[in-house]
Amino acid sequence: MTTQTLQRDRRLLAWRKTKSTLFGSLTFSTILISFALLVALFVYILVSARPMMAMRATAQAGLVLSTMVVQWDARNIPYVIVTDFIPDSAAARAGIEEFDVITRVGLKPVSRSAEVWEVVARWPHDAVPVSWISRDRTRIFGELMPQADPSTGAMRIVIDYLPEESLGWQAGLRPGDQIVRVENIPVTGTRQAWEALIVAAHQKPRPEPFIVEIERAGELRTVALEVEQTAQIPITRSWWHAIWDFLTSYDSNSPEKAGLASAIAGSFYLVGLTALFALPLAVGAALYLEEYASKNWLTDLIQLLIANLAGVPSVIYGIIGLEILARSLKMDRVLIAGALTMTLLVLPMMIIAAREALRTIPDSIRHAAYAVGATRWQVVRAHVLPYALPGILTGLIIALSRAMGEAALLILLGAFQYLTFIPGLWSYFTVIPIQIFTWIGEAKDGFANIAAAAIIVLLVILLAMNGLAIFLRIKFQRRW
Amino acid sequence: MRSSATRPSLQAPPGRYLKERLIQGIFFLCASLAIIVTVVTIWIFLSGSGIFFTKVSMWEFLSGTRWAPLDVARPSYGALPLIVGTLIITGIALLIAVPIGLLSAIYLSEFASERVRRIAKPVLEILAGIPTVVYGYFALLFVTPLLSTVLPDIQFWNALSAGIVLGIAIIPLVSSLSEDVIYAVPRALREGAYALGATKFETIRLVILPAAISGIAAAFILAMSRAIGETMIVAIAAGRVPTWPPDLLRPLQTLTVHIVNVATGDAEAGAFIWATIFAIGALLFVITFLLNLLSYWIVRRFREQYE
Repeated sequence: MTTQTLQRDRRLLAWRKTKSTLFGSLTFSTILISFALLVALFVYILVSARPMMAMRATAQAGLVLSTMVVQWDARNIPYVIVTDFIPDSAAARAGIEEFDVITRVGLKPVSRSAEVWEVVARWPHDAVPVSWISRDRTRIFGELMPQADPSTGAMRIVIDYLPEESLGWQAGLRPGDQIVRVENIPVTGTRQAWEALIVAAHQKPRPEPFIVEIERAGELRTVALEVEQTAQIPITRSWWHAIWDFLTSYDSNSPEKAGLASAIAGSFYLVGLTALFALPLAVGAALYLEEYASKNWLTDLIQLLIANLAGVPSVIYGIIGLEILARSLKMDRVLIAGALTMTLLVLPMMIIAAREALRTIPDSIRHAAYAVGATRWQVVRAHVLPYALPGILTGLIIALSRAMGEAALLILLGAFQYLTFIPGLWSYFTVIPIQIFTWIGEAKDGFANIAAAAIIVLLVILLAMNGLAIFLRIKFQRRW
Repeated sequence: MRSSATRPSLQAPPGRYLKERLIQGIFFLCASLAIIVTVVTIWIFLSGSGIFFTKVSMWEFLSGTRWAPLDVARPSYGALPLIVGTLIITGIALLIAVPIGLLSAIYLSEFASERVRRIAKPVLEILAGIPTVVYGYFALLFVTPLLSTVLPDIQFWNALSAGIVLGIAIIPLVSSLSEDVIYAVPRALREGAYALGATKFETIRLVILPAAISGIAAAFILAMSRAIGETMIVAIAAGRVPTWPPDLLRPLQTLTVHIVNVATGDAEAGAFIWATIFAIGALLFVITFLLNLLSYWIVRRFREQYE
């Protein structure tokens, strides 16, 4: 009987212990989850930012690209065109012009600009073979004319004019020929004749002549037409160049050229001004609450309100800033208005941090100073503040790093701008988080990649700020 | 001359007290900024939403299910879709953040060795320091495609991924606040439980958590307030269209996102649409202010129990 009870108790004890261990592992797994999420986030952002180098290298070689769509057989078929002609670039020297269609890069068919960048990023050599179809129709078909067939009344697409140096002439086309089919695609319109080339080019595994069926003097013929031109385009891929270019250029409609210069300047300007406005106010308020205030209802109220203001959503501050500065004071939505509003947001956080720093100074310091006849201000200025300063600065930097990443408040203050200059105090402005927000909203290929690159820049800045805070804490930390 | 040197004056230099008072006055002004800001905020929202409520009835605002302030022909100002949208996103976020945050806090304060703590705490701090636009990017371009492998019906903008990622963003808030309160439970209580033969799990479940429950509740409320006020993650990942009835897999709009929509839209300065952001902002301000007050009150009451 007793052994049975003992056994049961042992089993129970073992089960209780197991439960404890299981619970311990469960709690540990939550830490692992957080860690995994952090790793996933960083890896994803790094991977997304990677194509930026290829993008900028391609653009530098003269290929500023855009993805267009052609309707074909009720399908949307994307293709890549050159949207920006850069004279003297490698691509321009090879003969590529604005609005030419890029059909293959590295001999692989491409239909989106992102695919071009991917091929360029992986191409092992410095020169990439690029094939394109010239948008200049006279090079291929000359001028096309729709004509009604005199006998049947059906629509025919006839070559009206064809220069002798054109690809069409060299392949054997002559003015007066009617184009019937391009690569088995029946041609019924002038634009369609051209679009058939794009569609056909995407279906060919490698550049080879297109079979164009024509009707000349009543008889059908086929002509082999070299539509795609190919050239080796030298592309220099350098991380440093890509990063530098990204950091120093202004926003643009092409993701390959858009950069962060205005946003970085705006962010630093804004955060610097915020520090300038907020530090004296925060220190003053903290000193009052810690060193001067007597414990009464007013002090309690102030503390309560500060704790509450620290938790008010930042959009609310945005509305307040907008109403007071932009509406009542008739300020435009300029950088200084943004900084003043940002001050409101960081102030409660900074007051709380400064109070904590002041609280670490032991009373013995204060008492010693009072004992030799110092007034309260003398105690504060000569003893409390110098000792508490590193702690206060640490709190300041941490609050400012929050301001550095803040977007919602500044959207209300008009930082949602397309800017191509370095903002000043009284000018419109933008900041890095808002630039990221804008780029995320762009539909064009590549903007998501430069948004990721901008995120990395932002995180590096925040890391540096926090590193500085940790450095201050370690270097000046005192144990009392 | 001689007498004044041997008998130092006990009188302060002239102006010293004045200066002291002046400095104290300046510091008081800095501190009273909190009162000024609160009063100005309340005044701005009262007067701003006053304009709104002269045209739209409070009842219509709080119970109408069609939010279409930009519909020129038939504008409608029922904010229920926004309120419910906000609550849905907040609910998903809390469902993620509270269990993970609380369990992490228990691990850090009860199980972790000093070495593990030194690694684990910075991980949570880094999560806390990541700007919310970054989380928004992550939600839109990583979490949504990931979810679409399981839920093929999910749309590009949807409430689910925004809620989940918002939850991730507030894990550190929940964990650090709960860790503080769990840490503040006196040692004697723990040791009493161990002395009675309780295992670690039993101590946590029967002694520590009940003792810390009010602080954990405060953390929960603060996390809720933070989630309600969160803007960028939702603006980026949840789409910006109010839907009724709400659907987790479709876009929805929250209170904060409406404010962003108006600010990024091209409405003229005097347009009535600007009045809506005061009504919405006032609602947001009241909700978060009350939640913050509640948690502040709970924390204070809790602190007094053990000190």
